[in-house]
Amino acid sequence: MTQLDVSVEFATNPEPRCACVLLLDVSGSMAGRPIDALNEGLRAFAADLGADALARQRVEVAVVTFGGDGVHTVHDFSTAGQFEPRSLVAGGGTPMGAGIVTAIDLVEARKTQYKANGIVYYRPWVFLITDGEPTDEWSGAAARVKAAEEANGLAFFTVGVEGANLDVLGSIAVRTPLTLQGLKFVELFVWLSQSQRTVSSSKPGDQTALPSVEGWAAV
Amino acid sequence: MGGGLSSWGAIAASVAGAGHRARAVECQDACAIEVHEGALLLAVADGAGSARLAASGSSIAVAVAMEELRVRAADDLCGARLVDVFASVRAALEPSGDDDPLTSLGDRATTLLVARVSGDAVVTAQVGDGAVVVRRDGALEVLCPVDRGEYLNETCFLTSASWESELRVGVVPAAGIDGIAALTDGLQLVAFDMATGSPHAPFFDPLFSFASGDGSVDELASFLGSDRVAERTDDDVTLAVAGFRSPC
Repeated sequence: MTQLDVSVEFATNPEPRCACVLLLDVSGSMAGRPIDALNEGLRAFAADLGADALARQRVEVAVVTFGGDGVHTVHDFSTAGQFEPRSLVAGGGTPMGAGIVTAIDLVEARKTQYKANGIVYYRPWVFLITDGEPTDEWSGAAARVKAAEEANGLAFFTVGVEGANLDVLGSIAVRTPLTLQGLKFVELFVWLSQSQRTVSSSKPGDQTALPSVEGWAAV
Repeated sequence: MGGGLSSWGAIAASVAGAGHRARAVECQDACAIEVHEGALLLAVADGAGSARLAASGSSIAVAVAMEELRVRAADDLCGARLVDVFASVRAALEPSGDDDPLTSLGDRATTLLVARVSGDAVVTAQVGDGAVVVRRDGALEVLCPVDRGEYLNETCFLTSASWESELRVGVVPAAGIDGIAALTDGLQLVAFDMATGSPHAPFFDPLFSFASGDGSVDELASFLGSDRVAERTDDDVTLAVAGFRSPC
């Protein structure tokens, strides 16, 4: 114990936050093995983030699903340490457009809360995973994504599972859609966790270098 | 370290953050502080984590900046001259013949903050984040505060094309100043009230006493590398601090 360890007192600030919305397709085509693999991936995501002392306090996870009975915020923002994913059930159509709008609204509301509470934060992520294409109107949603990306308001990523319409995903997202190899949801979510851990510990000014996606994404 | 006859006690240290230590990555911050011909000179730099040669970038930036400050120790450091200082540093970050052919300027992306206390003035200049705090007549002031962007992890670097428009220069009178500290962003969450941007006096005051008293580089480095700091930040941490010794 040195003199400084005793004498220097630290400012108390809320932990900086890193919001991440998982926007998940639970339409009928996801039934069976895909939804099981997705659920397993979510559990791996929670476990991996929870194992990181800083990430569990800084990363905030929300889960929005779109499927047969519409769009649901099945898990509103909580820190990763308190994220306990519940098993998702697949069925019905693919109201992706409405899901996207809900996810972006959630992010914007969260940022407003951060500002009101003097919490500093990292650029939020929305992570869309689908095996299909929208069955609802999605041009308005695509415009929201474009506007938010252009304003640097968030980073919107899309991942297509086998069967996904990558052309539509490419029209929605500014960033190039990624394709999941088989049902490698666990690998995908561990990558996502690692990326969030990297982002949430990076120094200001970092154009953060994310881990390689080669463990789960098809080229 | 301060010169024997000077009235400033000056110490600086950079320590790899817990995240870098865990992955055996070298420290990408660099710093220096010294008294030269009666002027207190300091520089701190934070290499971008995503840049391949970040550690090289920050250490070159600090070394070249200190040399520039020494050469100009007696000059009137107006804005135009500080642009020259930063331009010289930036030129030194360009790939050299020793680098592999694919090396680009951006591989040494780094922030840079310099300060000089001499005569009647404190001059500071910086590109990117980091902060300089002075204590004047017992009260803390942040010099040329950063207009922080919306997000915590985004700033600009000296290697960027727009560096000149990002250069912030401040000149304030030196009267009444008995402490100065410069830090990279790694310590910001423990050194500042983030909601208001104001410096946390119980953090800085003991450091000024430490620098003007019997402080050592080893002890500063040990403090910066302590678990107590690591619990609050994963990032590399840097502190260059000086305290004025009252004449006795």
